[in-house]
Amino acid sequence: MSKIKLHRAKEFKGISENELNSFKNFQKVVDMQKVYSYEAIKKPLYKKPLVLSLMVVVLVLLLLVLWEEKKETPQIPSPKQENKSTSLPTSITESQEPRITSTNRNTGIDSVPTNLPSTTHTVSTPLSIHNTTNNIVECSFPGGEIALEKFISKEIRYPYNAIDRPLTEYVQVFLYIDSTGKASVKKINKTNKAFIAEVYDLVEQMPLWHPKKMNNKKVSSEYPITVPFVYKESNQ
Amino acid sequence: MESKYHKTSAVIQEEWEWILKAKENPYHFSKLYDRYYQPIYLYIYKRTLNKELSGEISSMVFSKALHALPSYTNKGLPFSSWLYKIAQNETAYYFRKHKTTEHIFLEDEQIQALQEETTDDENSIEDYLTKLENILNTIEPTERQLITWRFFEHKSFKEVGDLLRITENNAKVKTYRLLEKLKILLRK
Repeated sequence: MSKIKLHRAKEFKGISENELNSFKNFQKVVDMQKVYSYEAIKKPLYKKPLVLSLMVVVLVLLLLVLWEEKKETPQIPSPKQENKSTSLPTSITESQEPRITSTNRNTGIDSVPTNLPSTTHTVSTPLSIHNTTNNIVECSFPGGEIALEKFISKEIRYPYNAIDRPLTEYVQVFLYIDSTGKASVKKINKTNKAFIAEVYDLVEQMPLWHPKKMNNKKVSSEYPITVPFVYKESNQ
Repeated sequence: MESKYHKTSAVIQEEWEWILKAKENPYHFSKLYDRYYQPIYLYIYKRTLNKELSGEISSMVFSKALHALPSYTNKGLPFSSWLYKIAQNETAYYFRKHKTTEHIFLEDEQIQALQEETTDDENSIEDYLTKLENILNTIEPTERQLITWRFFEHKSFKEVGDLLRITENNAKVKTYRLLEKLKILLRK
């Protein structure tokens, strides 16, 4: 940082007019201005603010278009499935609604809403996906969604002895339904160990499911559910 | 006292006509150059106390003004205010880059006004200037700039705020806090 020196105005000695005018040179000013103009012309195109801002706008638009395209690209079924599909379903029945299609297999457990008190999964399946895979019959609990809900609410027990503090939690579980219909836990959200043990007990008690059918052939599948552990003091 | 920026509307109009001509041909800028060369040179010389350097910076100021002339619009302000602003920026840039001593010449009235605001002691002007100079060389650069703009160049709070990129009220608050700080430092 430069130093500062204060003076009284009357200390200023001034400068003679001859000395002052000796530095006056208009031609130099014009020449220097030409240099500035030359530098401005020679400035690389990408350094010009207008070009830069245009580039940014184009880039943003390009990214937006790519993003939109990615969102709109439908799931392309395999040629084998495409050939065998006969007709598009016109409506989705109650039992079909919660089904998870093969295209949803990779749906992460986090995609299931965690704040819903419902005992059943709430993964909504886009109609387009049903249309492309209408030769697939998804796995289902005997009696449907409502029966599954009843089963869970009936069988689930809050592990009061294992929990040292009040805790209400909705545990997200991914079930693995094998081709025979036997359910097992494939993936479970990180939670209290007592809750995890309870979930394993619950899944063990489950009756055989109707396994997923693909071209009339039973195959294994996955199914997300939410198990509610609601702390109630009266039950303690 | 008439401000160095003050110009009658007739002069402003006359200058505007010269500017319009200079926009078409840079050699018409010579009239403006002749009129303002001396005041701009002296303005820079008072800060640098170096004749050759002042001549160099003056040429730079006018060449930059000439270069930016196509974008200059008539806002009813004298052309000199624009030139002084460029000169101020150029000298500030020079001191920032070369870290040499910046000279500031103050009228006795200016010094007395600041003395009344910052100290109760009735020291001589020389003593007060020495003390103030020492303090200004130790405080933060932004604080020094604030004092320079507000008390030496008599800029309004709004202008100070614009230069420091803060609000007018914030500039006021900072100035009063700085005055308090100066009072404490001057007592030591």
